[in-house]
Amino acid sequence: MITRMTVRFAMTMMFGLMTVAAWALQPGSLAPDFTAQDTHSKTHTLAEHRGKYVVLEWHNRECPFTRKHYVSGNMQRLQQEWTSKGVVWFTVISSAPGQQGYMTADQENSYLQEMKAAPTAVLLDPSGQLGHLYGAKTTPHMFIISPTGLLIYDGGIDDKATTDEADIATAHNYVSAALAEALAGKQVSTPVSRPYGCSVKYAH
Amino acid sequence: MRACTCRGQMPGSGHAPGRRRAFLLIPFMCLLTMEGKATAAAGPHGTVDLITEVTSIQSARSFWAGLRFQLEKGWHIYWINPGDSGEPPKVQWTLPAGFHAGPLHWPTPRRIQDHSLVDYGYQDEVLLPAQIQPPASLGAVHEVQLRATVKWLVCREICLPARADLNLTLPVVKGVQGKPSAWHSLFAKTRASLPRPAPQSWRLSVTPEGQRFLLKVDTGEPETAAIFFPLEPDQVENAAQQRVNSSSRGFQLELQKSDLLPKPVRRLAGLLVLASGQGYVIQAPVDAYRSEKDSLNPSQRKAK
Repeated sequence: MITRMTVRFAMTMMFGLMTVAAWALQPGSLAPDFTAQDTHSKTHTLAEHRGKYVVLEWHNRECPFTRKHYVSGNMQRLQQEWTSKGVVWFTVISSAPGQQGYMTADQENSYLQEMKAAPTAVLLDPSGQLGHLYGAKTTPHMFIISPTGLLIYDGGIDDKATTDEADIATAHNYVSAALAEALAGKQVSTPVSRPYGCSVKYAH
Repeated sequence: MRACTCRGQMPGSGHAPGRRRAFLLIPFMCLLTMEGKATAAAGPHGTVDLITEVTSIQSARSFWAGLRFQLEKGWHIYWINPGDSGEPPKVQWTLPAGFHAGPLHWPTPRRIQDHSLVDYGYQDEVLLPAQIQPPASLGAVHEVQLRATVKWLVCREICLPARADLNLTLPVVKGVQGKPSAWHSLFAKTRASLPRPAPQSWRLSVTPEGQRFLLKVDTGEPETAAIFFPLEPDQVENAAQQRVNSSSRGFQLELQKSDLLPKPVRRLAGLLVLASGQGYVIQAPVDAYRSEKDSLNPSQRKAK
């Protein structure tokens, strides 16, 4: 049993890494597993959430594109809506120490409280390992993984690549659309879009 | 002196743990220049001003106005296609009745590395010009006020949003052509350097090959350098290196296909910048889709 699981894990990792090496992740392919710590020192893996939809949201609180979705309350609304429907929502911070958006666990926990943010957890990724594994380019950059571990969405949060809060009302939100379709048993109509925002502040 | 209102938004600075950084509205100093009664607004890490090429206007005769950005060293704003991140400046004109503003013209940008991404934009100084068309008759109007609300994003490692409300008052002088303003030469220089349509003699083709596009351009002369700036966001990988292979009659440029490429693509649209620095607007048909109809270049059509 252990052997089978180990093999499966190794294959998942290999497949994930091969996919990354060959080409960016393709929707429909297996999402690479990861291990990351949240702001309460709890370790999360993707594999332990099999059976649930998982959203990954790349975050930098000082990026004007991220601010658009937090100051307006749009991101918090999405987090509340989808986590209440059983979706696991990970906010990921890949800013390296000294770079914009880098947060200690305490700083991030205060921010979550003050912004009334409601992700399942915030994963701290100062090494950028998780960001590079998924090819996260911008903040925000959104990924959705199906209960069977397949990547079903990779792209922007919506179709208005601006910093203007007023655009949220008329934007088409790709993440909500994809989750609504997937939860209704339908095919995701837009599985890929262009992520927009600030560059992820990885270590140089 | 004319009143002006300028303001910019900047996120709060400092790293106090756990403190929510409120957006601070910072009143920016307004500068007035004597000539043309132009207003300039100081934004984060640079200034923007509304300028015109002439000192007075008359009915029915169009003139050039523009947004002149001066940026601190290392900071940049964006081209119409910002590349992997960012957003181009936007202007909303408020003009007197009967006036019409044309679109902003975008000078040739440069590639700007932003972590692992590549953006397209401008550093130091740039003028984004637009033509303004006054109405056929201005009646007894003695002066007009042009107003522009500009929103832009300025970046260097980090990005800051900014906004300025600019205005400029110009006298109306009947039957007299407006005298060149102090900005005339900047307008002339900018117009001369704007991207041009590719010469009709050029022959362009794109061959998809694996993860690459091979853009072949026959200019009739050997070309040593070329950079492609895509106008469509999802056709080529912005951050990928572009390799130039010179030939006696032009060059071939290797472009990496975008991960987000809508398949298959019919043509590549963008700017091609040669060693001289001059940009040319091209629409190059991609091989699988080439047909008589798709060849936009008349000489190419004849050649087939």
